[in-house]
Amino acid sequence: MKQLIPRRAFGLLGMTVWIVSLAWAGAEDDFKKANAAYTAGDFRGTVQLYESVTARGNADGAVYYNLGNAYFRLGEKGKALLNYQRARRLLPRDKDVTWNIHILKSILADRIPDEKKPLPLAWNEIGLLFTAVLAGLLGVGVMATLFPRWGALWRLKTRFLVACLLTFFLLGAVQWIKTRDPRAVVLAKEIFTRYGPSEAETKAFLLHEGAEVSVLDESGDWFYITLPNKSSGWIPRSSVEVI
Amino acid sequence: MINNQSDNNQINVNNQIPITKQTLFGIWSFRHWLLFGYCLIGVWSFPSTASADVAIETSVSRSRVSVGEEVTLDIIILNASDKISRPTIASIEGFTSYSQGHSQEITIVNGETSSKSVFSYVLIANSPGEKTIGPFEIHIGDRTYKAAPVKVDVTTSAASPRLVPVSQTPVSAPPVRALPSRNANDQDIFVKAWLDRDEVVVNEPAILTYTLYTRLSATYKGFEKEPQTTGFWVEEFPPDKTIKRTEQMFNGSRYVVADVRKIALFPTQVGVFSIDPGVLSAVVELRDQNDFDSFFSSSVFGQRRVLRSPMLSQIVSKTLPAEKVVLTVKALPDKDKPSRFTGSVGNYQIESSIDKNEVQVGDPVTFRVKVWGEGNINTLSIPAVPELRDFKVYDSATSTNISKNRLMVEGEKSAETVIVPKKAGTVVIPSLSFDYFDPHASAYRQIQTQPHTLVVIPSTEAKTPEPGSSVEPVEKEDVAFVANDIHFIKTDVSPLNRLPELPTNPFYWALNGALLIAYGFISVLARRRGEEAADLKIFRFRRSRGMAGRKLRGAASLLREDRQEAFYDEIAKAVYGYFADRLNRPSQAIDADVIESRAAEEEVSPEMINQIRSLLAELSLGRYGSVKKTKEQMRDLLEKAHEVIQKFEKVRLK
Repeated sequence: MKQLIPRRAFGLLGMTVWIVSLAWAGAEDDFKKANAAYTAGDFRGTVQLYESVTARGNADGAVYYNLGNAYFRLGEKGKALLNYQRARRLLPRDKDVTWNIHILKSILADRIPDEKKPLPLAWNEIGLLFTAVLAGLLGVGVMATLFPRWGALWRLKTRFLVACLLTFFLLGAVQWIKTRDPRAVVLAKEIFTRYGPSEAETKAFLLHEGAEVSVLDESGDWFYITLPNKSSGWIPRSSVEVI
Repeated sequence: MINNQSDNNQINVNNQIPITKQTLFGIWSFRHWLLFGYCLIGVWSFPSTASADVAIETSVSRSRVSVGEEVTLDIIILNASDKISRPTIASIEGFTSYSQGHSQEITIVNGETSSKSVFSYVLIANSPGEKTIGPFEIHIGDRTYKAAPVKVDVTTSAASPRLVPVSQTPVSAPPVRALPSRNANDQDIFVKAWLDRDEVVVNEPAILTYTLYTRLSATYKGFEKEPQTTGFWVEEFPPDKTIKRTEQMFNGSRYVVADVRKIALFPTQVGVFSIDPGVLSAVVELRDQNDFDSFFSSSVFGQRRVLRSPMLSQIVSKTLPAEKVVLTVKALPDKDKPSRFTGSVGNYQIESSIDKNEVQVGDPVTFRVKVWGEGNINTLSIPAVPELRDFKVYDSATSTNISKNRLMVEGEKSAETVIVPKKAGTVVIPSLSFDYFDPHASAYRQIQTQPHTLVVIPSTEAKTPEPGSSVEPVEKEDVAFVANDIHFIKTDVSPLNRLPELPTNPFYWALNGALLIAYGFISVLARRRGEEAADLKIFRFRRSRGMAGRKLRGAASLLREDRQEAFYDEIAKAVYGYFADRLNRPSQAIDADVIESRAAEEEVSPEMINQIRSLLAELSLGRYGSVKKTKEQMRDLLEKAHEVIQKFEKVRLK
């Protein structure tokens, strides 16, 4: 009998799982250490450990949220908001994240209204759904191969696939509209925006640490940013960080 | 009785306070006397025919008035040559009366002299009904003349006052009569509005005073245009405390001076304010005292000549605009500003009290906080009751009591809060602090109340619940945050919280790719299977071996149990079923000949055919024969069936 999945594919999958789990284990170790440091009140140490996790590229919602907390305790409002917003991108309906952003915004200097509602779905969740649909289809296919009775369900696969693709297209479009302009957070204590991408240009308005802006354009070391009230200006790239 | 006051040159300021000006004669200069003398000579030197028929007329401006309305009574005496005394009126019940004055005209036309004296009274109806005014008696020279009474019908319908003075005292000033346009000079009467200081801090009062200067008889009637006080909290001082009358020399003239209105302005914002104080209205009695020159210029003989007596007077209304005042309002200093400062400026004291020092649980206690002093009491906010755990606190009732009697805004504000203890024990109600700015010292001050100790004893009504007694619901209280802070870090490892960002993760895309490939593979496979299932022949062919194997295994277990009949049945099902599936025929139609005809000749040896024949024969014998078979024979049969099926698998069919 022919093999359904080639042996080589199994090997590749095993390798992948092994590498991922190794990286995961290292991150997990740092995550636990950082949590312990936070509880002990060593916020500087906490920040270093969490940052090492994010530097490895496998930060998750919990890591960003905890990192935001540590920055908050250190009084670095801009960094705190940046990480809270990153956490919110992964955990859009998490009540802790929403609360902490609310508390943090209450102590920020600039009165900037919240422009957009929090994302209804995270990109992650849309991605997971997509994978789940693929896996489900695969499952039905396997069952249909083994048991002829599943054949009827299998024959519906085309319609199902079309419906799913349409849904994903819609979800993706909504999400793209909401997240089209990259958002950024001001990290400098105080920074003047200018009417053009140069220090020689006239000052436009003053932003304080933690102000959240949308990035519309960039030019050299400058971002062209806008606020929900449509005020816009150029700001040095070094004074902000994109969420 | 008629108040016979017109000769006293009286000003009714605010209609209550009489201001006596110097007498008319006191201010007459020599040339006035000369004029008067000339007039008298003129009158006497002309042949007098008028003195013989003196006529007296009485008239009222309206015969029907409402209560509160005014009516003017004129007593007109024509052609009187002797000195006329003021008329006496026998009855004037139901009216308040004011004399408006006495005017006299002497006209000389073509050598004929006529004179006309008018005594005017303003009457205000007090009660309804048909009223009779008079009769009147007038003494002219040595003779006494009488005039008939007049009737006025007073109705009850509400009358609207014509001009309400700000002081809200009843209208009692004489009405303005339409007279030729003659005006009081701005030097004769004017108003000055002035502030007691030019610069204040926010919420510190500046007192705006309106001072009326007059050289004439005048009646202050109120405000025609109210002051513009946007940006200020205004407190009005009571008029009776405000008005003070003095006489002053001003620019070489003697004036009667009265402060007619005082208001305290509490600025609510910083800035330089130019306050428009508004326009006052007054009624002025004018006398022809300065017509000496005009008299001569108009005395053209043979023409109509009008001689005015020095006693003539006119009542005219006069608007008195006041000049703008400027007030600079400074912000309160930021230095040392207490965090709980609520903007009170002035000089205050604070006190608190509780009505009981010992209570039972559930009994109310009244906690009273009182702030008193000098400043804007109305906008003052009393410090809130401190947060009291184990107490139910009811909303406060505040009361304000302001006094302006000392020409400053002062008073007290108190708040009463009812608190009900919920638990027994000794509770200290902490002291409350109140911050204000003292403008005299230019400094912030903090005053505090004394703390109070309250002993709460357990309620005598409270009992431990008896078993089986009903459950009484307790009063619920709101769950409120004491402070705000961020939530704690996430220490759990719930997989959804720990999902890394997928769209940027290569592993995620690798997984999805693998899934897609597998999906394609499976879909090809599944399609093939579906096609096969649709073809029954192939389906039966494919399943034949497996089905036969299962049946033979079942037969083997029946053999162990020594169930002969069931064993043979199962073997028959396995063998016939196998051949039926293999050859795509119904199992009833299976025998050795059919098998032989379907098998390709070169593949099926005669041996095999024989074997099949013997197997089928043995099966029939076993199933339908009456002789009991031994276990040995049955095992042989099972092996034979195995062997035949195994061999036949290799046979290719036509």
